[in-house]
Amino acid sequence: MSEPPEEVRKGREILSEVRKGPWPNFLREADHTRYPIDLYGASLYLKRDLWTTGGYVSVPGAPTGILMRVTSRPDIGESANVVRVLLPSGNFVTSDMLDTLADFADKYGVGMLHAITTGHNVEIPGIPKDRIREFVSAFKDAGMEIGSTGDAFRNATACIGQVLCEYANTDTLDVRDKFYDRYNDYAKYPTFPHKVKLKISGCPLDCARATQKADIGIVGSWKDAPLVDKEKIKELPAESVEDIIRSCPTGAIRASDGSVSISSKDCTQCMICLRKGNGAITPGKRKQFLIYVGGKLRGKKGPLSSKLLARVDSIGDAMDLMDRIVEVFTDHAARKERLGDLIFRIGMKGFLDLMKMKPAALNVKDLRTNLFYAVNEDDRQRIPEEIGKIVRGE
Amino acid sequence: MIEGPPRPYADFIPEFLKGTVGTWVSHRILEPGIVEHTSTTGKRVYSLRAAATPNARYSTDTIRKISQLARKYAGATMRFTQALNMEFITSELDQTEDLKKELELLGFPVGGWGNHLWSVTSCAGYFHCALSATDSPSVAQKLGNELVEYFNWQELPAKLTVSVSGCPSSCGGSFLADISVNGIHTEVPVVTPDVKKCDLQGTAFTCPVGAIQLKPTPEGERTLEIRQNLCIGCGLCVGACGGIIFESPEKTDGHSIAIGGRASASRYGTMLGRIVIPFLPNEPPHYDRTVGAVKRIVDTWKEDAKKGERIADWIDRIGWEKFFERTGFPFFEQSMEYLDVRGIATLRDGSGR
Repeated sequence: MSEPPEEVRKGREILSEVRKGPWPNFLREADHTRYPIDLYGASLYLKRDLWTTGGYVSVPGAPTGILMRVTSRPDIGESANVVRVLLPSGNFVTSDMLDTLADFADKYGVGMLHAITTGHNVEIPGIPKDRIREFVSAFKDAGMEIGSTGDAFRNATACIGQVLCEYANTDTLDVRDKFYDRYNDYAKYPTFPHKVKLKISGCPLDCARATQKADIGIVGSWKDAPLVDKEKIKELPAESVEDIIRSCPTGAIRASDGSVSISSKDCTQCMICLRKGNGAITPGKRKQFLIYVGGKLRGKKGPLSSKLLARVDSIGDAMDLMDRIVEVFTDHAARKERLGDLIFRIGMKGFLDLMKMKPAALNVKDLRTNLFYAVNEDDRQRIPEEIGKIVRGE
Repeated sequence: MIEGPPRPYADFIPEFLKGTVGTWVSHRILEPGIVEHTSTTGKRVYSLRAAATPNARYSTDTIRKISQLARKYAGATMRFTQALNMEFITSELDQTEDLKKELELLGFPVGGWGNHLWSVTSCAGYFHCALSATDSPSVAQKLGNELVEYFNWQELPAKLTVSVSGCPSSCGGSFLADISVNGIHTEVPVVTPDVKKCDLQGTAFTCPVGAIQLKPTPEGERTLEIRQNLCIGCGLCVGACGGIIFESPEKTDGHSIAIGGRASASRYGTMLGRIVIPFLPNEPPHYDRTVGAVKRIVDTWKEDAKKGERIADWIDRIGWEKFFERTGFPFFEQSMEYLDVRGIATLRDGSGR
């Protein structure tokens, strides 16, 4: 056996340092697998990435779900392909499913699981090229599905919702199931200009990051004021009731004979009183859903926050609106342009025009500060007329 | 067999959760990492959270042990949380305590929730990705080791999330974390003769600042040219075409530190992280400067913030000038917004137009 190259030897020294410490350690895990650890060590020593671009591939039966990883140093580590596994809603995994995944990782991969990725899939790394088709058919027979790569609907994620959370305004996991019932073809076959991510949050606290990490985000909310449980609020200590009243940013909460009343006109659904109320204050009965568009971290224009597109009354309406968003996106985005980049390029007004929606105050975070604007003949007529009506009190 | 992910979800949640969907009224944090949920039916369940490895890689041995624990204590099912941690839901409190002991024996501390460190996450980095500028898992590993006391023992002013991404694509989700480390390239990529194999037009189009031009070669073919003064080193063209490379990443790659991200649709909404330290080099395995800077930020925040103030809220109250004064970090002009080629300010919320 020949002496390993210098970068491998030096790399091993670095790795032994990384292995230390109380936090759960990925290298101590990797030691029990067939992952090419020397390749990783060498890249730490050389301070450069030793994997090269592989991209996504489609094989018969699996148009999405397979990522290629090519090594630039075949002498110390082999190329490896990765498959992405779709999980049930809420990332619930049964013990049987975990065992199945482990079996597949042992049989086809390097005996390692990536559970879970930041996109909430499970990945099985290290599957050789010639065994991918065999893997795909065996995996399907085991009742599992791969997907979530390429220019398709990526894995939709949802917060835990009504299954375990008292703030949720809808059963978010059911929404995700319904999404896949309706859009599975778009999730399976890459047909969009770029990837589209959907995230579903049950309440405005937005645990699913629907307002930022998703091209399309659905956030459950309610109209008017939250409900107050008069009995429960009496059980709370007086200071915490005072704290609830004081912490309302719009002053919508008032004390009224031992309990509190919340003005529906002033409530902005900010969730602060719900969090402090410990069960005494719950979301309102009349639900609404906020549809956000254009959030992303990756891609041309860097991280962009999403913008509120509309408020709708039901998940059915939200899905109908999504049809339209996806249609506009497919028709108007350039190749490899995310929805957020499209909106950045043409502006929110341009996007609303394409959506055939009337711009409203809810669509903007802030107003125009630049005085230069091409005000046209129509505007010169219409704007003074409408303001005049208000001023005259008509 | 149905197409798409396994559905409906009701087949995969623990048996004891099936009758109580939508009936929850309140929750209470019993100790770091253990929460009691109360339903209107009077039922109580407990969820327990254990830290994941930074890039969530597990050996199949560990996965099988976790699966056994789920069978024994948590209704034969478990879930992965938003921040990649493991969550087990049990119906009895004493089972939760036993589960906690077993998980800690396996090397997975139980903690988070409330005013603690919630998670340390990272993307693949050198471990499995082709584009990274910094090795995110080993940075995250180091940060986890240093901050572990805040996970299940010491209290902080408010929630703290830490995230590390290997490149500006932020796959680690870093711009939403309270403290994030993002890999950055700082050199202009070079066009090699291999560029012929790529889709030239497509590659030129990936450039966000229009720095890539098509150019004829003396042989009558076409190649690409990168305009040095415009390039912002985002690395998108390197990802799109194997013929464009970074020549000496070992010298020029590194990472920046951003703070004050948070995700929320309520009140003033989502905040993205803002870059306080524009560049630090890759120094595996200890990353002394990076870890030291993060610890300094956490310590200053811990000392200075009011109870319940996340880093974003704290900055909002004291302002950036005071932040730099209190941490002692110098302010670098590279932390300022810049104008892109069309003269449009690339503001954080994308409201450039």
